[in-house]
Order: sequence, then C-alpha cells, then structure tokens
Amino acid sequence: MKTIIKQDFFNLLKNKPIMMYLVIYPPLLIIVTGFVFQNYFNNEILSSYDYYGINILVFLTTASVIILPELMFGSNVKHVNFRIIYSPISREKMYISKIIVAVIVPFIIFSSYIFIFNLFKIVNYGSNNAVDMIIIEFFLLLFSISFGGAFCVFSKNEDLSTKILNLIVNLLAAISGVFFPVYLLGKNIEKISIISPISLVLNTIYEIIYDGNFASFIPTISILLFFSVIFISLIHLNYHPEKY
Amino acid sequence: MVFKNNIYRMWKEKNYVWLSSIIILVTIWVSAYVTTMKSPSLTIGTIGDIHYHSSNDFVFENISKTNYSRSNLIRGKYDAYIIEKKGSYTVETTKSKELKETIESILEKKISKKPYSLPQKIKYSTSLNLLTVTLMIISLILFKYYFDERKGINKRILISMFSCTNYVFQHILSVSLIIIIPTLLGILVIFPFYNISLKLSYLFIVLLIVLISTSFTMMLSSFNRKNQGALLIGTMLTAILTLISGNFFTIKNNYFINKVQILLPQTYINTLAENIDKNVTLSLFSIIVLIFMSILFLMISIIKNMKLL
Repeated sequence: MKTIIKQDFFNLLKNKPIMMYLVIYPPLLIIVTGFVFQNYFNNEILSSYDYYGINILVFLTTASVIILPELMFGSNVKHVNFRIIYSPISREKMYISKIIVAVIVPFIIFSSYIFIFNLFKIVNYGSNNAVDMIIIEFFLLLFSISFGGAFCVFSKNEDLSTKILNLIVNLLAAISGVFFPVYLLGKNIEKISIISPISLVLNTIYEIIYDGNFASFIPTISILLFFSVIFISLIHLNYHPEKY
Repeated sequence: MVFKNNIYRMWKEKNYVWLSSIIILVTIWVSAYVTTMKSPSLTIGTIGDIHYHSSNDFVFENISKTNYSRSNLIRGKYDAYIIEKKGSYTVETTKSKELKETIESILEKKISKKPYSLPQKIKYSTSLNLLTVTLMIISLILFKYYFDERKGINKRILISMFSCTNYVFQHILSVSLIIIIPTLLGILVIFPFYNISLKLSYLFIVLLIVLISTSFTMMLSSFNRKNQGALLIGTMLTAILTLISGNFFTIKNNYFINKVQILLPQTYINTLAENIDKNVTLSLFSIIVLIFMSILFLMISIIKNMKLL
C-alpha cells in the first residue's frame, strides 16, 4: 500500500495542470477577485479579500473532485492499475491509497495557504479560529474527492466525467453565492442553494468567524462525513480497474 | 478531411456534443433570465424600536436581537442592519460606503435626496459577456478531438500534402460549427419566451465571440500536451481575464489594469455589447481589433503546430 501511495503521490506531483491548479490558482484568484471587488466592500466588517479569500478557497476545494478520477482512470495510470490489480494485493488497498493521496496533497497546499494568509492578515480565516476552518476544509475535501471518485466509477469515462464534474461544481458555486449573493437570483434559487454543500460550508465558516457561533460546526462536519462514507462505499462496490 | 473526420467522431461520441449543447442552452436561459430580471430591492434588517414602510427600493424587516448575525449580512440575506440602542442608531453593512450614507440619510429623514444607485437593469451586455465565458470553456472541451490526434496522428496528417494552415483552420471550423448551431437555436427559441427582441447586431457579435473563442482555444491547445491541461489553464485564464476586463463589475481606476484591459478581447466584446444597449452603430474599431486578434491567435497556432512536427 505504501508503494502505491508513493507512486500516486509522485504521479500527482508530476501532473502539471493539477499542480498548477492547486498551487497557483488559489493565491492568484484570491488576489484578483479581492482587487476587482474592493469597491463593493466598505472594509468595516470585512474586506473583499476576506470575503473572496474564503469563498474562492471553498470553491477550489470542491473543485478538487477531478483529482481522484485522474488517479484512478487517468491515461498514464490505467495500465499501471492493470498490473496492480493482478498482483496479490487487495482491491481496497488500491483505491484507499489513491483517496489518501488525493485528499492529503490538496489539503497540505490549501491549509498552508490558510495558515500563511491568516498569519500575514491578508485574509481573515478566523485569526485564532483558523484551525476550525482547516478542519472544515479537510472534511469538504474528503467529501469532494470521494464524490468525484464515485461519479467516475459510475460513468466509466474519466475524460467526460471530469468535464461534467467541473460543470456541476461551477453550477453549485453559482447557486451557493460564491461569486455573488444568492439572494440576487430570487427565492427559488435561494431555496435550492440549501442543498448545496458549498452553501452549507460557507454559512458555517462565516458563522464561526464573524458571529463566534459554533452551533453548525459539528452538524456540517457530520453531514460531509456521512456522504463521504456513502461515496466511498459506492467506490468500494463499483471500482473494478480490470473493467476499464 | 479533418473537418469531416471531426464531425464523424462527434457523431460517434455524442456525449461531448450533448454536454456542450446543454451548457450553451443553460447559459442562454440564464442570460435571458438575468436580462429580464427585476432590479433587486435592498433588504434592511432593523433591530430595536424602528419602523419604516418598505418601498420598491427598500424592504425593511424587523428582527429580534437573538436573530442578529453578521454572517447573514456577509452572505447577502440582509444588505444592511439598522440597530437602535437607547435612541441612537447605527448602520452596519459590508457593502459600499454609498449604501451606508443612503441608509443614514433615511435615518435623518432625508430619504431619496441622494438615493443609492441600485444595480442597473441587466441588458444585452450581461448576456453577451456570459456567453463569452461559456463559449470559451466549451471550445476548450470540444478541442478534445484535436488532442486525440496529438498522439501521433497529427504528424501523419501534416507530413502528407495537407498544409498546416488548412489543418488548424479545419479544426476551428468543426468546433465553431458545433458551437454555433445550439447557440443560435437557443437564442432564437429562448429569447422570444422572455420577450427579448432579437437583433441582427446581437447575432453578429455572437459570431465574433465564436471566432475569437475558437481561435484563442486553438492557440492554447497547441501549447498543451493534454486536453485536461488546456481545460484547467484555459478556465483559469478565462475567469481571471474576464474579471480584469471589468465586464461584469466595475474595477477601480488603475494604470496597470487599464493597460492590460486594452489587450483583452473581452474589452472589445463588451464595447460592442454596450453599443447594442445604447442602440448605436457597432464600433468598427472593436470589430477590427477582434478580427485581428483572431488572426493573430490563428497564426500563432499554425506556427506552433508546424513546430510540433
């Protein structure tokens, strides 16, 4: 299992587009959106950098759905997977190794950004409560990665599923108020946004940072964990690399 | 030959065509919805002994102290709070200073003397800017067929009598065709439902958007080895450049940003879209710049593809 983790870890590091997306996109997008929208905030309660710093990071965490399909069915690992599956190793070890790598690498990168931005007061991630943001970030990442894996296992087409997953994440982001308040889109969209995990996480984070209200913290984590377990069970039942 | 082959492959793998068509149709529907949407009124939460009558521009909601939360203000449920404490009032908002001043003038009973400018009614420009973002991403998805050939078939085609210009042009033509059909159909069917009058100049700008999107993504694809890479980088570039262009949100005047905006196709698309909103003739300069940019992207793609041999 260690070997698979090590191999997948290096595979992910060698994947330039995904690494660019994980390393360059968060600071770039936070700085650009913070700059562009600074006229729309009066900085008394929060600045545009605080607002988009949280929203963009939650959005990018959700958009990490594409990582597991790449590790499971990407063209450069497909044939390697065949060799592993016919070796005396349990199937569970194979997909669990991939899930571990897919969660840990983005988690280290995103939480480093939270730590640095919070330390240098570029974005308010809760000052002393930044650890809570990092914990929520971990469970959202686990949810997104397992969702991506389950979706890909069912569609059996890595290329098409990453494109559909991208679309789903962007749609969820739009109805969750990542780019603009969801209330502008009317009551019906506002009702739909309740089912969005992005909306749930954003509400919890803002309640913790700006109201000091931790009431939603445990329920949010439990919901994300519950669905992650369901998605991982679906992967367990349907992941048969020899069939792809 | 490449064009025919691409259309054949698209026909065989219909999922990509369906996916692109659905995204385009949803974008057109969303753009029609926001174009005709009423300007949102501002919701102000009042805490304490404050009673105001709601109007078209302002909706006042009395809330208890226990329901007061700053996260609701940040998430946009309320645009501002007016808090009354022992006869004195404080206004809390995360939004611009203008909104705060307007609410303070309401408190001083100087209502409407200096009204906060509500977001302007969304017009054709919003719809065209939305289409620009979507069509750029769709082109990136549909260039999948170009990437299928990057495994070696492209070299076999290009070492034959087939010219590189012809090769690049046919890829662009096939992707453009798959984009144009659902886009025009969507506009022709969805817009009348929302009573949006169709203008020839609007359709002309859509064609220009398709031209610039496909040539830009062709250039981007030429520099990437995998479709996934082009898609990730292209989406990132499209999002950031659209934000910098200031098409959706006005950006603070900045020397550097102003210079960058001159180089962005989105700036010229927005100029043309605003021409439609203002009911004036389309800017010839913007049309020429967009065509020039498309030719430039095409030439870079041709040179890069020649070097791939």
